[in-house]
Amino acid sequence: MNKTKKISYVAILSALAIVINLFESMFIPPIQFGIRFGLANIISLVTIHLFSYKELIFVNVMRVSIGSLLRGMIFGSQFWISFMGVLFSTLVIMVCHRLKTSLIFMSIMSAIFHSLGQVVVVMMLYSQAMIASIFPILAISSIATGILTGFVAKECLRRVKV
Amino acid sequence: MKKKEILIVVLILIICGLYLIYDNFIKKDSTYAKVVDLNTDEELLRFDISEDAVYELDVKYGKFHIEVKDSHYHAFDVDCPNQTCVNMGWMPSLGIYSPITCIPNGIIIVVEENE
Repeated sequence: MNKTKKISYVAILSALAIVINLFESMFIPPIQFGIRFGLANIISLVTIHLFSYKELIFVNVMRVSIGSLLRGMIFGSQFWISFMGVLFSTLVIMVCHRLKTSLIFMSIMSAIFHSLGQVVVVMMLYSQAMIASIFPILAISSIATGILTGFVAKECLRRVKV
Repeated sequence: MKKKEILIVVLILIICGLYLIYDNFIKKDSTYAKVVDLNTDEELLRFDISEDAVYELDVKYGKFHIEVKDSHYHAFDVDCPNQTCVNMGWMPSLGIYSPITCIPNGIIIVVEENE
C-alpha cells in the first residue's frame, strides 16, 4: 500500500474512533457500575488487523487525546482514567497480535485490561483501594461486551478491503 | 476461537464468579463506622454496621438520625437545610463505602479501615 493511501486510512480510522468514542459517551449511558460497551474498541481491532502496531498506537492516542479535547476535559482525572485504560488495552492487543490469537479473544482481553487499567488509575488517583472489588463485575461484563465488539470487528473486517 | 482461548476466558469467568460469590455471601466481618466532627476531628459515635440499630445525634441544626439495617446504614430525618446526607442513601452502595457527609452540620460518617 502506498504512503498516501495508508495515511488517509489511518486518518479515517482515527476519526471514526473519535466519533464513536464521543457518540458513546454522549448517547449511550453506562449500564450499571460504569459498565459500557466500549464500541471504540472495534476500531482498534480493525486497525491492528489492517495495519500494524504503530498505526494502532497512533489511532488510540488520537482517540483519547482528541476525544477528551472535544469533550473539554483533557488532562483531567477522567482523561487519565481513559488514557490508562486505552494504554493497557493497546498493550494487550499488541501481545495478542503477536501471539496470533483469534479476534474475539483479542477483543475480550482488551476489554478486560481496559477496565483493569481504569480500576488501577482510580485506585491511585483517589486512593480508594476498595474500588478493586468492582473489578470482577467489570471483568465479567467485559467478556460479554468483548464478544460483542469482537463480532462487530470481525464483520467489519470481512467487508473492508485495503 | 481456539480451545485454549476459550479455556482462558472460562477460567477468568470462574475466578470472578467465585470472588463475587465469596464477597456477597460468605465474607462476614464486623465493620465499624464512625461519625466524626469535621471541625474538631472528634469521634462522636462509633457503631458496628452488622448490628441493626437506630442512633440519634445532637448536631448544630437539631437532630441527626442514622439507621443501620442488614449491614447497611443511612442518614434519615436530619435537621439540615440541604439534605445531601439523606440523599446519599444506603451505604455501602455497590460495595463501596462512600463517606456520608453533612456539611451544614459539620459531620461525616466514614468506615474504619480494616488493618
